[in-house]
Amino acid sequence: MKEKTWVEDVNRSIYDIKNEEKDVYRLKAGLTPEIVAQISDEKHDPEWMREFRQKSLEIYNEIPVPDWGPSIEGLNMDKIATYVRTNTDMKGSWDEVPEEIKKTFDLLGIPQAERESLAGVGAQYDSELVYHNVKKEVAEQGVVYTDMESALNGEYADMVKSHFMKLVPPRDHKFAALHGAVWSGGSFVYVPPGVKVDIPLQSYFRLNAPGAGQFEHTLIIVDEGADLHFIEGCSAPKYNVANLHAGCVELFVGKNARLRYSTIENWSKNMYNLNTKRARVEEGGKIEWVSGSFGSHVSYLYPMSILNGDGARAEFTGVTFAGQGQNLDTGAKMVHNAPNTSSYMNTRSISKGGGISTFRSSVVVNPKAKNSKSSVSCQSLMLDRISRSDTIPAMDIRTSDADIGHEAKIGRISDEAVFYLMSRGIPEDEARAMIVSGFADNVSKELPVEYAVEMNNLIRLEMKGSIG
Amino acid sequence: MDMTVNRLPAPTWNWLRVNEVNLRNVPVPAEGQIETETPDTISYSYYNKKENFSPADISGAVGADLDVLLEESDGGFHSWEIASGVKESAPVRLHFCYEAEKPVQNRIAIHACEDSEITVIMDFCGEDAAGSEQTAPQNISDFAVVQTKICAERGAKVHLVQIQKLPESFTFLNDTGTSCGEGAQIETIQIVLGGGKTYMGMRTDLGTKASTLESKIGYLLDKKESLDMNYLAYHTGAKTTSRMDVSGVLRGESRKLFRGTIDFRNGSVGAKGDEKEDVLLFSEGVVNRTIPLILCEEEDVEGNHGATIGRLDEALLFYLASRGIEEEEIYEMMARARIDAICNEIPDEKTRELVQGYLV
Repeated sequence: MKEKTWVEDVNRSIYDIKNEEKDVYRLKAGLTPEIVAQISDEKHDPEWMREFRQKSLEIYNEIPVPDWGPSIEGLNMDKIATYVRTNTDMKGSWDEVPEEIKKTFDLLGIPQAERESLAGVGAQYDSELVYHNVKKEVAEQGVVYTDMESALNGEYADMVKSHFMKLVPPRDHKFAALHGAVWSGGSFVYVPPGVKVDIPLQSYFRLNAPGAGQFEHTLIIVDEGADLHFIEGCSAPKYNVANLHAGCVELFVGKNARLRYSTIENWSKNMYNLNTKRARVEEGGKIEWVSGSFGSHVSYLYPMSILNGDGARAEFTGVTFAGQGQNLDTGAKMVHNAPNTSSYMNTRSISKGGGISTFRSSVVVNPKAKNSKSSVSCQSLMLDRISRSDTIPAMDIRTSDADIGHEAKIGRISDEAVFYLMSRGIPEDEARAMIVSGFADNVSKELPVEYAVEMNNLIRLEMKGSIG
Repeated sequence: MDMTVNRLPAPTWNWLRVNEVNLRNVPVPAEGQIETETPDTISYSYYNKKENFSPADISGAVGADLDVLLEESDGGFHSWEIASGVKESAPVRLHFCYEAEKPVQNRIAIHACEDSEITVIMDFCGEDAAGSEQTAPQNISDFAVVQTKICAERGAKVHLVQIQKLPESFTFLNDTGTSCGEGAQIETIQIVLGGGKTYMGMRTDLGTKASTLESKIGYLLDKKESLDMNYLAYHTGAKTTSRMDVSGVLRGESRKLFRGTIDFRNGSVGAKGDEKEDVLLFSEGVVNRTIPLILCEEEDVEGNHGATIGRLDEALLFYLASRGIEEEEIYEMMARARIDAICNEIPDEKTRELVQGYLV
């Protein structure tokens, strides 16, 4: 029978490509000091990092699992392999990447995007980067874009040491500690003072191995007056065993600098996505988060902006689409620590097919953040009555010299809007899909056009079969 | 005993310290005295705690530990009932005057039978221990509890007004639980004008078709006073509506936490819920925390929340200053205006005068 949906050309299979695990090195599942030491050996860790990992493991064992979010009972760390890599080094040319892996990234459109619209690309496959390249003219501006392992052991070692997990210390929460113990892969970016990178850099994370974890660390330093757009994408094929993503993103935005960090997250629906992202913004600087969350079985994701300098600003624009079998707990945190700071959150959540989406946020305005402003707007759309949508915002205001606004709305697709579109000759199912895409346009209009198209395809893919 | 109160219906990050409140060494209160005034059309009964009294099963929002505390006390339920079809405009008046170092509690039940209308007005005041130091939270002695259970049958209308003006040394727990029949209407007005540590909770079960809640809360806090609130509109019935309007002013080093939850459960088709909060911050030492939750498992509902927190609007400030009014005076005027706006909704002249008297 023909599906009653107008979206028939989106091919989910590109995300579900499974490459057979051959010629790979996989540490045994579980989490012990010995396994963590083996990761240190594999990564050629300097001594401080070896100690850091072991200390993080101790902290991991001390901290309880969160008692406030979605259940992660299905995640058994004894069955997660924390390090899996193919027997290949990182390449600087797509031609040298093993054929099967290259084919996967080709289908995901990464090399094409690099040619057409990116200043540099990092491609991680399981625990390690398999490809990293930055355009010559960007490198000539002094922009450093490399893998974390090279940065940790190369000329930026001191810079890495002084910034690594300083924003997200292992004590922050259990999965930050886990990350500290077993992290591997990820990117290091440094943009020198005054340098404006006109086109984005992108890292793409692909987790192919079943029953494995991905723990990449992204460290970006945008120096005074510099400007960067960084795009992160991720996907994985679906398996019937749990996979885990516990990455960590630390962003340092210097005085009068600007960083836009965009993410389209499309992990498979067996993934526990327990990711931590945090930015510290200095005087006059600005962080812009653009976030689309579509994948994962369970997600805990709340990028945090710490506004530490006078006049620092933060924006968070996000959309979350929770379908069948998904419990996506997403949102953002804003901390105002300095005068004249401002923050803005604008989010949309969509729930369908029994999916659960939760918008969770916090705005903290400390006593020294005089003349600060914050505005939060969150809207939720319920597409059926078997789904769930919760809104849990918190505001903690400790100065009288502040202007804080908050608005939240929850509801269904308006019958009037559907009727209007139908009266113009658009079939009902198409009208509903259009309305859902329009509902998420706060994010799509902030993305480069190629990514906006991908995001809208994902929305239409999620809507497929749900209408009529 | 130690108690946990005002638990957030859906917890969030523990570091925010808003998920619940833990109280230590809470004394078991004795049953307190109430001065009452009851119109002839309304009947009064007293049920001691050994009797089976069904309104006792209506849940409040302060939490189960409060029920445990009250079970340890000797007191029973004071119950006011209005018969079917009777609409009484004269209020039941309950005056609670608390003494220092005499922990007391009262349990109140209001039963409005089908198509009836009742107004119940409670005012809480207290005597400070002369010259005493402010009571440390570890040693609560100036302590009072009131628990109110409301049962509004089909088509009934209940107005509940509570005015609180307690000394700074007092710790006060005020819990309300409401059950609504089809088309029942609950209207509450609560004004807090003083009290060292106040913990307020209200749960309204909108379990039957077209029942409604309209809740207005006003507060004016100063010095080191704190107000901790937990409000829950629990929608399970179709076409139910709830509205919570919270408006207040924080001065000195006062602290306020408002937890407001609209919970749309399966079956609440066509339900609507609105929360609005407006907080004016006067002093540098104040702490305002707001947690407005909307929980939803029904498609055909409409939920809204809006909050504005901070200083006075600059355009308004400029307008009034340009008319020769000092900034301090403008703030005082605006603080009073907020309480006045809620006070004017009280359906009783005598109570409005009482509030105005407190504001002077």
